[in-house]
Amino acid sequence: MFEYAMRKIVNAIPILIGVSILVFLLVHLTPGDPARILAGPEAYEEDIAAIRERLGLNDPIHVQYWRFISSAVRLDFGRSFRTQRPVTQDILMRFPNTLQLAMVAITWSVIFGVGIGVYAGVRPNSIGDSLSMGAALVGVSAPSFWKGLLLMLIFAYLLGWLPASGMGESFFSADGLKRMIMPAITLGTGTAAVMARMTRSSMLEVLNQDYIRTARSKGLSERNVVYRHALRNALIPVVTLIGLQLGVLMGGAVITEQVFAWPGVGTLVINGINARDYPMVQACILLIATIFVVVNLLVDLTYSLIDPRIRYN
Amino acid sequence: MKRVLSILFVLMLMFALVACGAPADEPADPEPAEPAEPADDEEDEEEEEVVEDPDAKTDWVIALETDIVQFDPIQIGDATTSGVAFQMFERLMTRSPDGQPIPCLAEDWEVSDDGLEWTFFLRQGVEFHDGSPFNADVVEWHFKRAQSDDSNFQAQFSAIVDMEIEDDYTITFTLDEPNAAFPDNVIMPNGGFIPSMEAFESMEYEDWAMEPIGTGPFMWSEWVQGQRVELVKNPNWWGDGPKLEKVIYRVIPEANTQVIELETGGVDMITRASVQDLERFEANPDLNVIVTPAYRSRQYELNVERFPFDDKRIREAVNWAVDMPSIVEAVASPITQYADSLLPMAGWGYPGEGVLPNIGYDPDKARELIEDAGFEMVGDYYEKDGERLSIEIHSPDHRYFMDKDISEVVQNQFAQVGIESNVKVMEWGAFLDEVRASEFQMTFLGWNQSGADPSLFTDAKVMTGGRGNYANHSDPELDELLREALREQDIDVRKELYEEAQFMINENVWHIFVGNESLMWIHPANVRGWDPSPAISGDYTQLYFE
Repeated sequence: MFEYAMRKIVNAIPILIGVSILVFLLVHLTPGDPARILAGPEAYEEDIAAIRERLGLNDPIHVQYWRFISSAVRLDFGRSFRTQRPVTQDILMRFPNTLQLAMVAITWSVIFGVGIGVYAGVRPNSIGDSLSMGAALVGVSAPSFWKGLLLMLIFAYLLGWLPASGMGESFFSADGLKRMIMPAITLGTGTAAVMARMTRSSMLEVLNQDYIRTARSKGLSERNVVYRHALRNALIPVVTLIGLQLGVLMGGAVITEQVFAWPGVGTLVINGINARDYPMVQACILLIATIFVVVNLLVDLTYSLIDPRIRYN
Repeated sequence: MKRVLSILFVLMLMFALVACGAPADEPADPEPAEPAEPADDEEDEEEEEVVEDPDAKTDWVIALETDIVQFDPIQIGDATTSGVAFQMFERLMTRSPDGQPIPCLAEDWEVSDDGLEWTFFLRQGVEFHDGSPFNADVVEWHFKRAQSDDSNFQAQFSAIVDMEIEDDYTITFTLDEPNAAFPDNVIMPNGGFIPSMEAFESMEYEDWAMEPIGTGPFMWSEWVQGQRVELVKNPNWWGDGPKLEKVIYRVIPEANTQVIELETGGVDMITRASVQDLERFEANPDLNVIVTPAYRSRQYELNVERFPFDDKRIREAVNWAVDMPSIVEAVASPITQYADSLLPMAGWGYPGEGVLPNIGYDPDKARELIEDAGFEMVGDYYEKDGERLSIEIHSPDHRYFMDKDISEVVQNQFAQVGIESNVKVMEWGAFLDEVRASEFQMTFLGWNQSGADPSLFTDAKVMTGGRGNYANHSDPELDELLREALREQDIDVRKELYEEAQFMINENVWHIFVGNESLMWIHPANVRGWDPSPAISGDYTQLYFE
């Protein structure tokens, strides 16, 4: 297993280099001149030229790429065009906030989603099944922007139970928890819905297997059949999904963060893109790509825990 | 599990109901904002001081769209940072409510007869927040930096060819040529803000740029990245005030969230809102909506080097074809007001409504002019030699108030006279690229200045080669007139010269004027002592809660 993990890590290197080239080209080829945006439409042309020179934007593109990649391997992503601060410093300050939000969202959505999925999978085509799958469909389709504002309207504006936006000073305080509720629900509903649908279909498939019939005919309780025999086998695709969803949540928290003024990486990316802050966008996207790779590796390794038949050789 | 399900079902129903009813319900029912306020305050106790008695509220919480960037005055480029910096830094001069330069860190100044030498007499006994003295050395150091390669405002200050310190509190600037608008460069926020030299020398640059030390009424206290900035009262400020103990900025990117925060008491002031929200706020007795004219002019630039605007008759025709006063009234009121000049109505250079030659709304006349230019109607649109009279309207989205919406109505009115057009809505960065390269036929564009001097608008926008003259306007006679107006020191003479210039600009028909965009502030009705004017809006020194 150690060997397998190492091989996976080594494999990840070309992926990340590929991503770095792609990101670099994407941000540099997108129309929009960072110096011009920085200086604004009212600026003097001479001042814009001076800013371009200072930011090193006049160098040939391969020189710029080399400068970027040679320092990136030392985890130095340069200085933000906008703030002049080292990009890594800003990201490190914000990343824990995004991580916190994503972890809370994934935790509740997995518990809730898998629960509903099992419930619906055990009684297919019942009213409960249709209702919960209908709800899941709404959860998947409703855009987070809309969900977020709706929650805010109900719980902050109409009921006044929760503060509308912002993050508390600490997660482990009443204020921190209250401020976490709405963003976590907004971010997690999509995932919960996907989880529910995936668990349901996976359960349906497993429940039709011969070994389930065997388990039932052995006289095992239904509870035992569903949770020990069926669910465990049904979980493999669900775990894969959790991995993918965690990546999606980390990268896709952008809108939720924007709506709830959550100081995460998402707002950095948005501001970075709007300002063509190349170093910031490159570093954030690379970070998100790295998370995807790491999470996928963890998912691969988890398989063997759920299903002992899976071996890595 | 059944319970979970029923809760889920109820929630779903609730979502659906609220979703259908929400927008219509809000105006009729403004009260719910009230009970929410105390509840929210309780929860905020860790963040903000809990004050039971509203009379004692001494912190002023303002919503910001983006986080602050950095506070080296010569590199501040964004409005957000500029607004926060304004509380901590001061300039040699500031502005009176009608936009004229008045003393700030300089108590007085003199201009030599040839207009080349400006002597500033500095205020004595002023200290920076770090206790270091403010004097002529600091002023010289600051403006040298502002002229250096590190500065984003090099061009702005390039007119200063020499600075001479007469004594600790007297400094003379020598300019390369007479420039009546020189105070506007000195007053300009950002580049004109004077920071502590001693701190600059003793601190790491990065720390210095993130812990601003000025002479202003408020001092830097705390910054939680992406969340909030806190400033505290400067007890040693030389002026009267401030009455507030704290100014707090909260970063809330989303406009709808800002509105909910205002209505639930999470913030005290927001500075943008949609037309619909404004109507609702105005009906709410607990809120004050303040709309103040600003030096922000909005117009469509017609590129005179591109088809079809190389023909003056077509430039006139598109003006006759569009009923701009009505469009602005319908789409962007009360924030944008129609103006018939390039110069902002709030500034001293504007001669008043109805003085300038202006084109009205007359679709028939538009058609006549187009036909006069050799076009004929084929089907629904005009054509000449097989080429259709087709215009691409460049427009940003949400950069200027209702920009895209105004462009869409213009497109519609063009179609009514037989001009084919499409609105090219672009992301800001890409938009700037194309506009700066003059790659457009017609574009919506704004010009924001913090000062009222007409030259800030005319010299940039219509002088040959001006820095904002993206539509290639050129009129040598006008250029000469503008240069004369800039050299002239007598304000009454200047006023006449700029009136003449506006006549010439309007007669060239280089634009479709849209109007002036105002600034807006929405805050609780119990705020007193604050009267934002177009020239100076961020002065919170006299503000208090009743």
